[in-house]
Amino acid sequence: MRLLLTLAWRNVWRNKRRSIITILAVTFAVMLSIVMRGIQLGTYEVNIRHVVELFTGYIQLQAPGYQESPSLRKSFRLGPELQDALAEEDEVLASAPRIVGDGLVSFRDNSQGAILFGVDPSAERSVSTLPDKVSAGFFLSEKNPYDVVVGHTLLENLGCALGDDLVVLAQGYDGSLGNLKFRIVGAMKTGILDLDRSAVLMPLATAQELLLMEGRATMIVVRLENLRRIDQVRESLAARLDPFGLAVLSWGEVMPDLREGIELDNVSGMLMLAILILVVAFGITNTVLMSVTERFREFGIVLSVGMQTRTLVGLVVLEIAFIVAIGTTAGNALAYGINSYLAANPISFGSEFEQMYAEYGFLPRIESIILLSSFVNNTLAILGVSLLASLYPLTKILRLEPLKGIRYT
Amino acid sequence: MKRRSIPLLLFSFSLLNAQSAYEIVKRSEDLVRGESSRGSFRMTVVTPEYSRTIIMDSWWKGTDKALIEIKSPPREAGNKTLKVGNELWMYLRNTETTIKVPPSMMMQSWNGSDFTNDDLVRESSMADDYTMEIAGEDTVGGAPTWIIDLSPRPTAPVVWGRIRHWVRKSDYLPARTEYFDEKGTLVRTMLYSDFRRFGGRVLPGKWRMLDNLEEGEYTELEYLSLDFDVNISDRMFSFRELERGRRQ
Repeated sequence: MRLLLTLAWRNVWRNKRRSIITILAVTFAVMLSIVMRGIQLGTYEVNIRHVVELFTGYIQLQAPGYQESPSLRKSFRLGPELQDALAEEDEVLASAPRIVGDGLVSFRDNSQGAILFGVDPSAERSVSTLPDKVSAGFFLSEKNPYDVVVGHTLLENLGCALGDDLVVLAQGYDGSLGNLKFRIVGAMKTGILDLDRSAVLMPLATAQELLLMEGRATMIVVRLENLRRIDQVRESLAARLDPFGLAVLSWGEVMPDLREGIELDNVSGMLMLAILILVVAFGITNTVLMSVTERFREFGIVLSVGMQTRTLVGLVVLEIAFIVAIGTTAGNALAYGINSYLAANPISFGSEFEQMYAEYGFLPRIESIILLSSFVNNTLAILGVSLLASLYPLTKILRLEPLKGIRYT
Repeated sequence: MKRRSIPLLLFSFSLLNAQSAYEIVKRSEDLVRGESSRGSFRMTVVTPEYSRTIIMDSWWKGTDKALIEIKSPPREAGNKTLKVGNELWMYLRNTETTIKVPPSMMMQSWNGSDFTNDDLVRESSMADDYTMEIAGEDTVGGAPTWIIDLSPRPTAPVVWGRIRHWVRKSDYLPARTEYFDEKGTLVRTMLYSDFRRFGGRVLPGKWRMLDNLEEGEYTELEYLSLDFDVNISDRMFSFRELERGRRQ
């Protein structure tokens, strides 16, 4: 065995150029596939975090059926028991109740449909970055119940300015029309076009007054510590909140479009990866086949002097194993370096792309992530494919007969 | 000579038929709507979770102008809806503002009912916007009726895929209307009942709009009083009148 290892190692370096090219191919494939996956998954995670922390929340509690057809009637009663039950869950960092409803806003001769959000000004700061998105003026505060913050596009479309009065008309919990006059104290720029175009934020208590929703909310937005553990937390919360009859939804269920978009992109990424790996497989087949056919004479001789065909095959397998091992190790090391660099220093796009990305609610940024699973999976994939790729050249050796090997090749 | 008369007769018969479907609908619509009217009605909105009742006064002039004012409950009393042509304004007493209902909100519920803003604005157009034919006969509430199928003209600005309309043979009054969307799903049904005499005319006193998509939801309009051909000044349908916030 020891002899075989030495032989294999020497064989690898007998034709340095070919071996190095093969090693480089493997290195490059491993590095590229790991970096690609890292960037892809990293960008997803960054974007998901961005969106859920901006507005949607990692997890939402809703009345059953609200997600399918939102309505004030599918709201629920807030209470200290619910708060306590939520606080007992370890991974829950913070939570905030919200009321979401449709309304009509009017300024002088202009009126427009709007989405009304009743938010708890101080709780909101702990679950979302919405308060930081105020681009002009201030965010809401408990002291001034009749203040609103509106999306900056809505402000423009209505032709009003900060400090103007805005009338909000909305159908309440019992179907009756309520209307209140507000002062616009802030405009917000979230990058989510729907919000910028039609959101009107008001204090929760005022929304409850306008919509006759005393003590009620349409959702509770929950912030978690870790995005990756969301499924476990969701299940544990669902069990804990069972007595309240609330639906516990993760961001993917609240925003199925975003989730499906990411899944689609993910599939296309994996397809690219598969193509890459296929190309590498052909490369490996090629070099191994060459190194085998080139040495038919030599193989014929070692077979003639008594080496077993099995041993010979084992020798070539060992050679391939050396090459692939060196390649994957180097590839992993390089990928780790690139990924950690990108994770620490995300690449931002120019401003031309910013607008385009904003329309999809994405951050115009490339960022990577170091996930053990993507290192292991890609290395294993390339390892497996390399061995598969050398099967054909190996069958050639198996069929080799000693004398023919010497004479006819 | 004799041979020719049969196809001719058939042709004129079908012409008569097509004509009469239109005439039935036209006559029916004209009956329900006078030149001008002043009325008071009660609107009851029923849903599985709640039901509420609103009393309103209304003034109509032709099909173009209308003013509707809410009298009770107190939370909404004084709110008004003004319709001039295809446009709709709402006066809100609480904030003393007038809001023009934007086009995007036309399909939204009017005052929380199963009627849409669009129903108020487009109320006139059944005879003009649809092609129609008599689809059969039926009995609704004991009264013999024609069933008339209406499909929208390609250019008509309507939201329904098709409408099936029941008209009473005896007095040309509507008995039932079914509204279907473009996919052919029954979306809502209007039921007319309580035929009574109002200001010299017989009219359905109760109009019930059923939401066929939400179980147990409907809105019923019931006329408390209705006078036709009354003298209403055009000033009635002005902003000044609208904003004269008569707090009562």
